Amino acid sequence: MVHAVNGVSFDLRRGEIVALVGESGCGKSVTALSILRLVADPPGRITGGAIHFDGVDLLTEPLSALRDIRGNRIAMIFQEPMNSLNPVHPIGHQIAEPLSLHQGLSTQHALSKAIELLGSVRIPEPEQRGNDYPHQFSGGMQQRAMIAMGMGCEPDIIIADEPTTALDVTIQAQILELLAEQVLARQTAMLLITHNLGIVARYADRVNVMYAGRIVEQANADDLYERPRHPYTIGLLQSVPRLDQEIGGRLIPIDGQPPNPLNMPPGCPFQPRCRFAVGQCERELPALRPLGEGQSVACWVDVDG
Amino acid sequence: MLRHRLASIGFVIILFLSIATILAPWIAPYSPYDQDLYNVLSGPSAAHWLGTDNVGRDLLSRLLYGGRVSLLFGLISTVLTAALGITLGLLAGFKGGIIDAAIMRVADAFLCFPVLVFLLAMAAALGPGLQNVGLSIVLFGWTFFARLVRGQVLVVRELPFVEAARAAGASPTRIMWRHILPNTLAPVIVGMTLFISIAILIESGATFLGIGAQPPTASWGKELASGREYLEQVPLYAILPGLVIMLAVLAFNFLGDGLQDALNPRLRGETKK
Repeated sequence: MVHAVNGVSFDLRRGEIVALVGESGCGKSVTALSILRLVADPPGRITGGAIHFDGVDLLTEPLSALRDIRGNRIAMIFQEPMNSLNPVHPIGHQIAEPLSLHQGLSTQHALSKAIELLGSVRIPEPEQRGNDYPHQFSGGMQQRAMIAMGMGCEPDIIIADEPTTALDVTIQAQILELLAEQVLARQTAMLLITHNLGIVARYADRVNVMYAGRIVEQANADDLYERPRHPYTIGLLQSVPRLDQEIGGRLIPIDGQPPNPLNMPPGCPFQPRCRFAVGQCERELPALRPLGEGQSVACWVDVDG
Repeated sequence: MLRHRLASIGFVIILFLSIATILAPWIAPYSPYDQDLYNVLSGPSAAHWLGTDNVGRDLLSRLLYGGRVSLLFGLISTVLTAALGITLGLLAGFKGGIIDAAIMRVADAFLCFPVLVFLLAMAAALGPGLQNVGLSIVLFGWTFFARLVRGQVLVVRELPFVEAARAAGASPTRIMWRHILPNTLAPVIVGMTLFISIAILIESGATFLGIGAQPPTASWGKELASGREYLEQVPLYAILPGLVIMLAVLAFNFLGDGLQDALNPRLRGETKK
C-alpha cells in the first residue's frame, strides 16, 4: 500500500488564494481530488481524516449531497483544458450544464447565462462562440471556458489544479490574471495547485509546500520568499531563476530524487537529499511546528534561509 | 478518393431503393397480389416489364413491395438490436465488476452458438414469421454492439472530461448517457450500416428456408425462393430478386466503409490521396 498523501492539513478562507506547491508526484493533485472525493476507488482510498467545509465533513457526506456541492459550491478547474471539455457538445451547452444541474435553470435560461459567462471571461462574440465545439477553441480559450464553467454557480471554493501548465507561457499570465480577478470579484476562495513558484509569488496569499505526500512548510507568501525555513523550500527557491538575483549567479539544483513511496525512509522523507540533515532526521519524522507569524515547518533543524 | 466514390455510390443506391420502395403504392404498375392468369411466368413484356411469377403476379410490383418488407425489416431489426446492445455495452463498460462480467459472459455464450440453428429453433418454438426472425436477430446481434460499445467506453471513461463532469456534480447516470455515450457512437454508426446488410441477408435466408415472411407477403427473399423453382423456364424470376438483394447489401457495405473512414480521423488523411 502506498500513502500518496498523508497528514496534509490546511485552511482556506473566503477571498483567499492558497497555493499548494511541490514537484510532480508529491500528492498535490491527489489532495485536490480528495476534497471532492474524486479519487478513483479502486485503486485509491481515503482512509482517514476530515475535510470541513462550511460546517459539514465532506468525507462523511452522502454521495448525493456531495454531488450538490461539486460544481456548485466547490468547483474545479483542471490541468488540460483540451481534454477536460467534452468533444461532442458545444461549449455553451457544457457551461450551461452545471447551471441547469444545480440551479434548476431551464435549458434556454442556462444557455443565455452561459453566454453571459463566456463574455465575462472575455471570449469575443460569446453568442456565436457558445455554439462552437471545443476543438474550434484555442487552448487559452478552452481554459477560459473552463473558468466560466467553474464560476457559473458562484462557488465558495475554486480548486485550480495546475490551470496553466498546458498553456503557452504568453497565455499563462492572462489566465491567472483572469482567475485572480474572478476570485476577488466574487470573494471566492481558491486553492491553486502548481509546481511553478513564480505563479505562487504573484498570486497566492498563503503557501503550502508539499514533499512526498506531506506538507513540509506553511507560510504567508511574502514570508516564504523572504525567509524560507524548510531545506526543501530553500532548495526550490534556489533552483528557480529570479529577477532580483545577481547576474551570472548559478542556479542550484536539488540533488537526488524524491523517495519511492513504496519504500519511504523511516525519518524525514527529504533527509537523503538534505544538506542540513542531522542524525535525528534519519530516525524520526518531523511534525509541522509553528514558528510564529503563521509560518510552520516540518524540520528538526532550525534552518534560516 | 476511390472509397469516397464507392460510399457515394452506395448512398445513391440506398437512396434509390428506399425512395422506390416507399413510393411503391404509387409507382408500382399493379398490386403485388393481383393475378394475371393469362400471363403466368411470362418473362418481360410491355405489360409486365420484369415478367410475372408462377401465379401471374407482376414481378416488378412484387419487388417494389418486397423491398418495403426487406428494407424496413433490416432497419427496424438493426435499430432494436443496436439499442439493446448499446445499453448493455454501456452498462458493462461503465459499471465494470460483476455487471460487466455477467453481461459479457452472456455475450460470449451467444457468440459460440450458430445463428442458423438458433433461427430454426426459434421458428420451431415460436412459429415462422418475420417477427420471430427479427427477435432472433435482436437476441443474437446485441453482442456485436455491446462489445463495440464496451470497448469504447473503457477508453472514454478514463478521459479527463469525464472526471471534469464528475467534479461538476453530474450523476453517474448522466455521465454515462450524456458524456460517455455520444463519444462512443462513431464505430456504432458504421456498425449499424453493416448490420442492416446482415439483417437483410438473414431475412432473405430465413424466408428462403420458409421461416421468414409468409405468403402471400412479398419480400426479396420470398421472390428469390419462389423464383428458384422456375430457374430453367424463367431465369430472370430468380436472378432479379437476387440481384436486388446483392445491390442493397453491397450498397450498405460501401456506405459503412466510407463512414468508417469519414468518422475515423486517423484514416482520413490516407483516403484523400
